[in-house]
Formats: sequence, structure tokens, C-alpha cells
Amino acid sequence: MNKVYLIIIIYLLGVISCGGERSNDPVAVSDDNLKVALQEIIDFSLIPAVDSFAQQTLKLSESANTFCATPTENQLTALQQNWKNAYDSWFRLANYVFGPLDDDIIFPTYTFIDSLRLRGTDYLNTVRVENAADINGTHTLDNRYFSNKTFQRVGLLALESILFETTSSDRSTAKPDIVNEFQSSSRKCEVLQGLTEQLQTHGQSIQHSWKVSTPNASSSYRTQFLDSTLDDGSDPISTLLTQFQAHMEYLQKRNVATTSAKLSQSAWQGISAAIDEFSFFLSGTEETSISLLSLMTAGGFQISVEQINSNLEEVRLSIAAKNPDTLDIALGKLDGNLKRDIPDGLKVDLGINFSDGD
Amino acid sequence: MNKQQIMNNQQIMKKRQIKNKQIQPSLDTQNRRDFMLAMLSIGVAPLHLSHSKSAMASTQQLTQQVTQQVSHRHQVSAKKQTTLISAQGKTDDQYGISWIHPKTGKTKTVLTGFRGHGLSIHPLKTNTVVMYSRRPGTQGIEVNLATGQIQHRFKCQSNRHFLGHGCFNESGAQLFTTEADYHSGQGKIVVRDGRTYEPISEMNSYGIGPHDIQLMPDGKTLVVANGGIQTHPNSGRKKLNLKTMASNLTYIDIESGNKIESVSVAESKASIRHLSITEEGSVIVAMQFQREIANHNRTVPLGGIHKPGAAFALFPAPDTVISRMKDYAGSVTYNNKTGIAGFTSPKGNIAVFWNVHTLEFVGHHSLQDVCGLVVSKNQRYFLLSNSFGEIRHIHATTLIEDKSKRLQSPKLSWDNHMVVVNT
Repeated sequence: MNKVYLIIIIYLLGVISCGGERSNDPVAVSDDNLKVALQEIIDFSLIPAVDSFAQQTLKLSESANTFCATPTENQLTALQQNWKNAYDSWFRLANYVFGPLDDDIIFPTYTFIDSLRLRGTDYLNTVRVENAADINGTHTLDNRYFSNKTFQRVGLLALESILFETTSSDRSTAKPDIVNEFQSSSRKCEVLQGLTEQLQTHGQSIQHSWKVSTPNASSSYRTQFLDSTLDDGSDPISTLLTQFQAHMEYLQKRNVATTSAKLSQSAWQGISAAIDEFSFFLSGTEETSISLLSLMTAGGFQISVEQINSNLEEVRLSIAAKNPDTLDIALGKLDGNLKRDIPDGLKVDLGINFSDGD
Repeated sequence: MNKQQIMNNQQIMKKRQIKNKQIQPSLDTQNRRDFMLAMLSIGVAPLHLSHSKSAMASTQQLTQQVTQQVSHRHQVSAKKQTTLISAQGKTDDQYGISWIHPKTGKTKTVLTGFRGHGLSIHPLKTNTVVMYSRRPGTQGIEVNLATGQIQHRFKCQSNRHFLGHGCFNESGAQLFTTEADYHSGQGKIVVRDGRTYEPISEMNSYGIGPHDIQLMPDGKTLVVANGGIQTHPNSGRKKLNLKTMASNLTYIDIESGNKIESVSVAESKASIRHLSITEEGSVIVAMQFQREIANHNRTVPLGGIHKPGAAFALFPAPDTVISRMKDYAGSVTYNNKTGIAGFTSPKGNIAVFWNVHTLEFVGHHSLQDVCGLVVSKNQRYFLLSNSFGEIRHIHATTLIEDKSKRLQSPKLSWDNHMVVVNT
């Protein structure tokens, strides 16, 4: 009799051991797995994007100081490259315009970095006039002065103008002419340093909020975001999907490829950085264990995943060809993926579809 | 706006309220219901109400006569419970009307089979609400909140569809619904029997796509938001006339159906859609800007105020605020106590507030997919709802949320509009 019990127990143990989830099982769409994927997106994609922007703006500020000590063509080349790196890192971060980047309803930080992002309005003439007034004026160019400037007059665009063209009426883009202006006007360097310092301050502030604490709380935005304890009641995954969708829509509808970074001709590189980040968001990085696309595949949405990858490839080909027309179409497809296929595949609720006319 | 300004505004509003009460009987819903109960208590049945002008006048006299009895009865009656009501649901099988008692958090849902939009509290029938289908639906229902039963279903006539809103006249004997004649494209105000909802007659809305409709404080005038956008059931919600669209705010005489005044905002692609009326008779409008057809990239204010006979005043705000609303204001309400108007933008995940006297932007509250917006019965709060089943209380003066009053009904998805009633 005891043997019979023993056999039954062994049999039951065997059955039980065959159940459960193992590390090599395909992932399934579940709340727990979605939480893991979300945390990995934040830690392996978003936070590195935040760090990268903070680092690049710091480098830009440091190289501005180096350049101003001895303005040479070589130093200008290095400085211009640092601006391009900061611009690329911004486009990566610009997928996440919420929280620390969108911290004030009237003066959101992101507009002070990239004024184009607000409504697609090109403020190049505004920064040209402003820079010239600062260089030719006699007023004090201290930190307070620059921190009080409106968003249309600062940020990457104001720096692009001062680094990639002369302030004189001919708007020369020749490096010797630009260096010559810096050599003959110490105020031009003060403007450059003031603007880079402001940008660096924003980079550090965003990093601090995401990683250490926000102005109104003792915990980091990362913690509040992942714990879903933000006051606006936002759900993390739907916030991320909505933000990526908004960025794709912005890149498409505001003709960023032809409007942004015209002097440095960096727009395509910036868009490429934004798409790389989108790819990390969907497919993960080398450190990722559960990606959004792997969850979709496990949930039976393989066709949608293939379609998304195909659309991403289409965007990359358009970027490589620098073709704004095909980019417009391809970004529109990704926009559709973000609105429908991805939320459906992840069983994420984006809320009611409040349409015009309701 | 500082605290002193708010207090001054409150004092001014209080004086105005007192003044208004002296010259006309109170016409709020509660008193109408009390009035009907009092009528029954003195043997006057609601069926005696007529649509004629003289009958309306005698009704008002009677209201004044019974006011004292009502006041007394009100003092001894049990404390009433606040109920928030809204269309609800995300899918065909979930669409319904739901209500929640904020104090207990208890909810009730009645499935309707269609997506609802605007609601009206019935002035004659206790615990009764009418809900209209969302454009371009063709159904409406009357629901009893006490029994949870749909008491009436009504439909549009052929070649017509609802546009989402309606309102009763003062006596509750007539219901006015905004509808579209989809053959001619013309907007219509259909006059219905307030009990059976059968059409009695109809008026021109004096525009295309009439959406919200409200009764002015004089009880004789309707104000209609002609959104200007034409749709046809065969093409769903597709906008058929964006190039030529022309929105207006029109005042109509209830008796004659004649147009009293029609006004427009300067921006032709701004569609006036929702309304809130102040006690003084000014009309606050919420708009939706048709960006896809606009020939410029400027931000367009989505809120404004119109006083009959005067020009429109738009609520200005920094570009960043208007930009955040993403060209879409979903609901509007006005707090007579504080002089503050609230607007929601579900696309921008935000509720924004302006002082209507100073036209100052005075505050905001971020909430994902927020759209429902109403002032609490005691006017202490703006109440917000969203499609994730949340309800929040925003203090009407400070515009700071009272987090202790948060409500969450995860299974519910509150839709565009919310109304409040004491049951």
C-alpha cells in the first residue's frame, strides 16, 4: 500500500515539475512580462538616452570653453562635431517628451532644447537677430541673462547658428570666417558659452529627475513612472506608445528632414538616431530579456511584427536615400503601427478614441 | 489670479446670485423636481402642463406660489446623494450609461447597444436621465436611475441622425434635440414631447452640424453650437465639407423658431461644439480646430465667451498651453461661484481653467484621457472623468486636486460628458 502511495507521489511530482515557466520557454503576453519589458526599456534604452544627452551637452560645453581659449579651425571642427553629437543624442531622447522633459505647462524644458518641436515653427531668423544683438550689445552676458531667455532664442538652434555661420550679413559658413568672428569678438564666445551652459544645465536636470529625484518628490521619475504613481494617472506603457507615436507624427508632419538643422545639415542623422531608439524600444538591446516585439510574437501577432520590421526598414532606406517623400509615407505606416498594431498585440489600452466632432 | 482676486470675484458672483434670485424664481433642476412634488401634493398633475405661452406663464406663477412649501419640505427632507452619470464603454458590447455615487463609489451600468454622448436630467421625472447617441447615431434613451431600467427608447425620423446633445425647456414638457437632415445637410432642432419623445415640430438650427444645445436663463431662448461639419451615416464620421465649413453660435427663439442672433469666431476652421451658460446669460464655448484643412500653423484658442449682442472674447493662453490641447476641447463647464470655466482635452490629457471675468489662464490638471467635466452640486469642485474609469475632484477655487476623493472604477470607461444630479 505504501508503495502505491509512493508511486502516486512520484508521479504527481513529475507532473508538477513539467509545469511552470522555465527560462527557455517562449515569453507570453502577461502583466508580469510586460512589466519586465517596460523596466528593461527604461533601464536599457531610456535612461541611456538621458545619460547620453547629459554627456553630450557636457562635452559641448567643455569644448566651447576649449575653443574660446584658442579659437582655431581645428577646434571649431571639433566643436561643430560635438554640436552634431548633442543634436543626435537629442533626437534619441526626443522620443520621450514627457515627465522631466515636459515639466511645466507654460515653459516645458523640451522647448528650450529644440524650439522646432513645439509646433514645427522655424525660429532661425529669431536666433540670428538675438545672437547678433547679444554680440553687438553692451549688456551683461551672465548665467542669469541666458536663463531668462525665451525658448525661441536658445537651445540647439541658437547654437547651430552661432557655430555654423557668421553673424555678419553674408552668413558665411566658411570655417575661417566663423573663427575670425570669434577671434575678433570676445562677446561672441560669451554668447556661445552662455548658450552651451544652459543646454548642459537642462541635460543635467533631466538626468537628475530621471535618476535621483524630481522637484516635487523624493524619489526619481524612473521609480514613480515604473510604479505608476504619477499624479496624472498615466499608464507607463501607454505613455511610451503615445510618445513614440507623437514623435513619429512630428517627424512626418513637421517635415523635420527639410526644416531642422539646415545649417549643419544634420537632420537625417538626427532622424536616424530617433529611429534607432524606436528600434531599441521595440526589439530591445543586447541586455534585454523580454522585448515588446517578442511579446507580440508570443501572443500570435507575428504578421504585425513582420509588418513593423518591414516599415522600420522602409524608414531606414528613406533615410539612407535622404528622400523626404518616401520617409513621409514610411513614417505614416509606423504611426499606424503605434496607434493600432502594437497596442493590440500587447493588449494595451490607450483609452477611448475621442475623435474630432465628439 | 491671486487669492484676493478670487475672493473679490466670489463676492461679486454672490451679489449677482442674490440679485438674480430676487427677480426670478430659481430654475435649477432640484427646485424643478421639488416643484413637481409640491404640485402633486396640492393636486396639480404634470399632465396639465401645456406648451403654450400662457400655460408657461401660469406655470412660473405656480412655481413662485409653491416656493415656500418647497423650501420647508427641503429642510426636512433627508440628505440627498450626489450621482455622476456618463455614457460609458469602449466596444459595441460594452456601450451603456453608467452612474457612480462618489461617497460610496458604487456604480451601476445599463447597456444601451449604442455609444452615447450628451445627457440631460429630466426636469419632470425624478431620477430620470435622457442620453443621446453619438454622431451619427439615431437612438436616444430615457433611464431611471433608481430602477436601472431603460424606460423609453426613441429614434430619429428617417433621413435624420442625432448629433449628440439635447435639452429640455423649463417645464420639461419639451425636449430639443440637435439633428442633421442628411439629404439637405441642414442642421435641425427637433422639438419632442418631453414625456414620450415623439417629434412635435422642428426648427432650423441656422447652420450645419448643430452639436450642443442649451436653454438660456430667460427660458425663452435656445443657444446652439453649429459645428459646421457635415457628415452622412453612409460615410460614418467622415467630414464631408471641411473646405467650406462655417461654424456659428446661434440664438433661437423657442416659440417662433426664429433666429435672434448668430455669431462666429474669426478662425473659420474652429468648430464651436460645446457650451456652458453662466447665470448671467453669457455663453462659454469649447471648440475643436480642424488643423488638417488650416492654411497656417498658428495655435488657435479653443475656448471663448459670448454675451448676446456683443462680440466673442477668446481665452488667450501661452502657445504651449493651447498647443498641448492638440486642437481639441472635449467638454466645458462653468462654475458660477468662482467665475472659472474649465475645459478638457483628452487628446492632450489635460483639463485647463480660465477666469471668465479677467480672461486669465488660471490653472490646469493633467489626467490621462480626461474628457468628462462637471461642477459639483455645491460648486466646490470641478469633477473630471476619464476613459480609465477615474474621477477626480479639483477644488473650484484653488484648482488643486483633493486626492482623498479619488475614485477608480477600472471596468468603466467614462465617455465625453458627465452630468451630476442629487438623487
